[in-house]
Amino acid sequence: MSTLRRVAGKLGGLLLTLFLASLLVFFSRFLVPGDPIRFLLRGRKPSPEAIADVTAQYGLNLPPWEQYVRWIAGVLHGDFGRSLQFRQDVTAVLGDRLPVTLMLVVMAGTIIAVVGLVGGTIAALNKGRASDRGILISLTVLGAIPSFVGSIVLIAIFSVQLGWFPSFGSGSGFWDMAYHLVLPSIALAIVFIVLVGKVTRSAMVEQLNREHVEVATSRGITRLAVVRRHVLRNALGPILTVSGVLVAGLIVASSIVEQAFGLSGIGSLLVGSVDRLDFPVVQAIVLLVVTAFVVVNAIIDILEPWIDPRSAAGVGAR
Amino acid sequence: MTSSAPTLAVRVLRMPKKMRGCGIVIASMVILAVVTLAAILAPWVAPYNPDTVDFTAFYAAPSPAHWLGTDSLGRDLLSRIVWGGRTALLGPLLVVVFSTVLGILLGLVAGWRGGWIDAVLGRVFDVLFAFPSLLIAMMAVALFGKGLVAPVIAMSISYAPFVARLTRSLVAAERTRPYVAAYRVQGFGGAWIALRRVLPNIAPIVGAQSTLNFGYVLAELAGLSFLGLGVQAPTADWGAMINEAQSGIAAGQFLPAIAPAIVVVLVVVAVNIVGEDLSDRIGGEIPA
Amino acid sequence: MTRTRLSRVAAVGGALLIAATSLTACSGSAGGTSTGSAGADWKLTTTTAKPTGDIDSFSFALYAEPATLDYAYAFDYPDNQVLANVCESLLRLNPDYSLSPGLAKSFSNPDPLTWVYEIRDGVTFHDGTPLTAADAVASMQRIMDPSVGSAWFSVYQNVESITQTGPMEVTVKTKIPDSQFNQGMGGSAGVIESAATLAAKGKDYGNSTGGVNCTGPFSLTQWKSGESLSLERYDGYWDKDLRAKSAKMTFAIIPDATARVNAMKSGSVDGSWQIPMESAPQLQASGKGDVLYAPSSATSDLVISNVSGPLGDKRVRKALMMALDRPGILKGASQGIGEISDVLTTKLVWGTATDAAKKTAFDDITHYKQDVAAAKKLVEEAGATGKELVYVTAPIGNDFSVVSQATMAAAQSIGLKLTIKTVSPAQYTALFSDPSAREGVDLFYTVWYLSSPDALEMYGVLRTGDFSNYGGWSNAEFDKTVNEAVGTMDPAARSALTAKAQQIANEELPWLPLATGPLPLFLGKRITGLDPSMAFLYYPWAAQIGKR
Repeated sequence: MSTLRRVAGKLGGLLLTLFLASLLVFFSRFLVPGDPIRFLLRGRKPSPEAIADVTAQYGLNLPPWEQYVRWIAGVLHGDFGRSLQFRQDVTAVLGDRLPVTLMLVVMAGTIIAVVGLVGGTIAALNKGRASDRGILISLTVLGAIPSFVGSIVLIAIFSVQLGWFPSFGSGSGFWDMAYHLVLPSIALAIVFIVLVGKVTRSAMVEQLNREHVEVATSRGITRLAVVRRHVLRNALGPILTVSGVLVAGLIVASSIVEQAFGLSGIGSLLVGSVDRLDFPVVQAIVLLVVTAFVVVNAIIDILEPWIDPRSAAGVGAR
Repeated sequence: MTSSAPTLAVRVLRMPKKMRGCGIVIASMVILAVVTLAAILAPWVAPYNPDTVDFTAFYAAPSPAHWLGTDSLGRDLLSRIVWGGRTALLGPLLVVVFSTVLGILLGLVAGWRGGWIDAVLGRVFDVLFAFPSLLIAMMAVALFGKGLVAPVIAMSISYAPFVARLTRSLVAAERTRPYVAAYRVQGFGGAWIALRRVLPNIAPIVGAQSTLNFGYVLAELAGLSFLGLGVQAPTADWGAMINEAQSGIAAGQFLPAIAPAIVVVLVVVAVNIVGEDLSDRIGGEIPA
Repeated sequence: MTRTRLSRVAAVGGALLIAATSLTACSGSAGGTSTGSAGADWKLTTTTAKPTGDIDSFSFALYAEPATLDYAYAFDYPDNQVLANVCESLLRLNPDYSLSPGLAKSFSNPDPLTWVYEIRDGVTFHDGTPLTAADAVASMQRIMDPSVGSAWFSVYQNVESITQTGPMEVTVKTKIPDSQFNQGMGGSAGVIESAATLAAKGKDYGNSTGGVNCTGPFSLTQWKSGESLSLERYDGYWDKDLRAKSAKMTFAIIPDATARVNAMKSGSVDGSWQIPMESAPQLQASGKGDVLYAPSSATSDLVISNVSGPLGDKRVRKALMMALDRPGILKGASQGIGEISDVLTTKLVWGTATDAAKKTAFDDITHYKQDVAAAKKLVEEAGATGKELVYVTAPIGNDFSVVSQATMAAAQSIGLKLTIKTVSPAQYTALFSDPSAREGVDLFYTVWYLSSPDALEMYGVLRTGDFSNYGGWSNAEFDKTVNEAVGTMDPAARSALTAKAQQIANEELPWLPLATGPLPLFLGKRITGLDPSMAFLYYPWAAQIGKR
């Protein structure tokens, strides 16, 4: 079936991209001139124990291709090596911090989706009128507020001044954590809302102009029903496509928000590991983020024909 | 083949809006000009040396002596913002210039020659697209150390594929135009046509699109400095200043953090407005 | 046309509006936040009121996550203040910096090269297994193992052998008479861990996966990396006098100073060591607890890390010392709380010294006064005018900024060119362990504390070739004096020699002493009972804490 072939093709592309990306991640270390042990143990006491550890972990006495194979074999088994700063398996270090970042990204994603969709829909339905312009303006302004600016403004106003929300830490327990993550997820979401908002608006505007909508409206079906049945579904495609880009972007941008709010998540771990020259951890996180991006995109790519039948007919069909 | 052409979503985001408003664009340009000139002429414009510590005036309130007050070490905030423009604006400028040049060259080759070069470059771009630019910048810092150099180079490489893709589409479309065939018939070589005739036609479109990246890069580099990985304290840089000022917020000292934050937002909004207007004016259809 | 123009005006206007709102929202509270300093009114507190009873739990805030709880590597404030409540050493360092029996119920020094420790009976590890001399031997030998790369290796540098000479007896033989070895047994270097646990946990011992299994009043029940560490009272603890008065305690990891201060102000943590000095006034005013000042063994110093540079000339070092505005530094860095110091130790570590020695050490020395003119002359004499210096600092605390700026000002006032290089806190830490990190660095600031109750520890570190002699300073008379002191077992006699070493250091200035200051801490109003002291790094202070 052509579907099967298409899916297989997409999967093949995914694997190829992942493979090339892993090469980039692994061999980036070789860009640094000089002794690899000195590089990996920068800032640390080069004790015999540390040198032996690092040599064993990276297989430094093996030729480069073998080093890569060992590393990638380990990765596929879930072994990312040992963290230099924590003296622990990287997997353990990551595992401890994943929940916070996941919840943060999910909450931020929800805010982006809801606010963006609602805003974009209202704007589209009122195209040309005051509310449309108002929403577009707000979106532009929001899009210019980087997450570190958003973080400190939110802390200043809602934490220090009003005391409504805590300004640091992730709390304990599910609901406490959600409460602690309200401000951080808003700070994270702000700059991405414009993305979803504009795409929603444009996609829906285009849909609303379509003939079948006019036909439906002329048949007396209420606008709301038309919106619900036809427009929303067809607009979903482009929205989902954009959402693919969001995933990796959110995880990376979470570094900034996690630092600002003192959250112990993957983002702040990345920053701390870059700072503390803990290269194994940096490599692992970069690989994970890239994998997440590629996989999500591939899934959306594969599902696209079912979401947006027009693109199944060919690229750029209008 | 390269991956699918820009989807509807991406095309929509890049579609020139039919808005034309002279006044606000001029205001944005004025803001940008003021900030840039102040940064360039910092030694003459700034009332104080940005690094001078004044033990007697920690967190001074705004006054005729210090228009925006002072920070936790008694340094004049206004001077630091003025000087901060240097690093805050230079980084993004370099990234945009490098990525545009690199992207145009690669896109030109890919779009003009087509074939396997196009396929290979397309795959390379796919891999680069998978790395968010902030992530590549952090990787570069992890490898080469902190400061502006590593992140600028890394981000130039990261943004180049976006420029390259656009260039490639434009070039591929131009290649089929009659005037190109006309030149060929007259015996001009392919490279000459590409560089001397096609490139000047598409460069403005690409350039205009590139300027929109300036705002993103500025925000990202400032964010990197905020994380302590880019410009290092005590150098005055808007992102680094906000990082240093964080601890004062709980003590109620908001100005050292809010002032540079406002400047960042203003500049990004202004750049976006000017960039969009530029794109509108230069026009050009972005091919499917 | 009009519409679009308006919409864009509104866009920029919107941004400005948000900006204005945040500014006005803020300026309301800006009034009255002058850092009304505590002034010079402060006193040392060494005891607090006895608790009225037990409590269920309390929490303390840490400014950083412990890098490890492995005693062989635990070398920093966060590591040690946690470890002190969970693991114990052969000897116990008390809040007054005296040493008393710990896991060793007694020790003897039959001849200058031999130390014999009798291990206490009836002690159990947190998993219930009994403590034996074999555990002691294993724990101690581990520090000597080069493949472990322990941070405390230098305590064992003169050790020849460690053997079990009885079911509950350990004998340590040294190569030369070493008075400092035993002094170090009260700290992390003397911690005893179960040999079985060490073998079982292997590479994961002491991290958040492996944990520890020790003998202290608390056991480590949970380590949520990046978040917190949880301790629970160990009911099988051998020392009834130090039974924990709280069933549980938690260490919350809060690196952001602002957040930490807020947590204390709001009462969500009950205390914290080493609070930022700038926050002391607001914490005291919050009514949620008390700011206390504990005796400290730390001095703030400028480490000269390059004696082949301009600072290799004693005259230049003296000149810099005389150019520094140390009162200004004290005021800017710690609200004026503390004292200028011309020596590298505090009186706290001279407990066993004779009065004569103390007088020699603290009175019969040069007291450097600020004299920029004279200093400038010295620099000219030394031919160092215009020479360049590199000063490395990190954004760790307010004191770092203040000292770096003050040093630059001082250097410039005497004709030296000083460049400040800022590195990250992690890179700054590397200065202390990685010689390559110190390349090209002339100066850096440190707050150097001592881990044993003997001032000689400070001067031992400055001998030629010692690991922490960062600048490579070398003085034959100093080395001779210190080595003789190390080999002198009698505390009184030793203190006279230590005092002489202090005099030499004060004259030669291998490091520039700036000031001493107390150890500030915050004790919330729910709790009381601890004896505030620098010994919090090795003494189980958390066990003293109960209900106020």
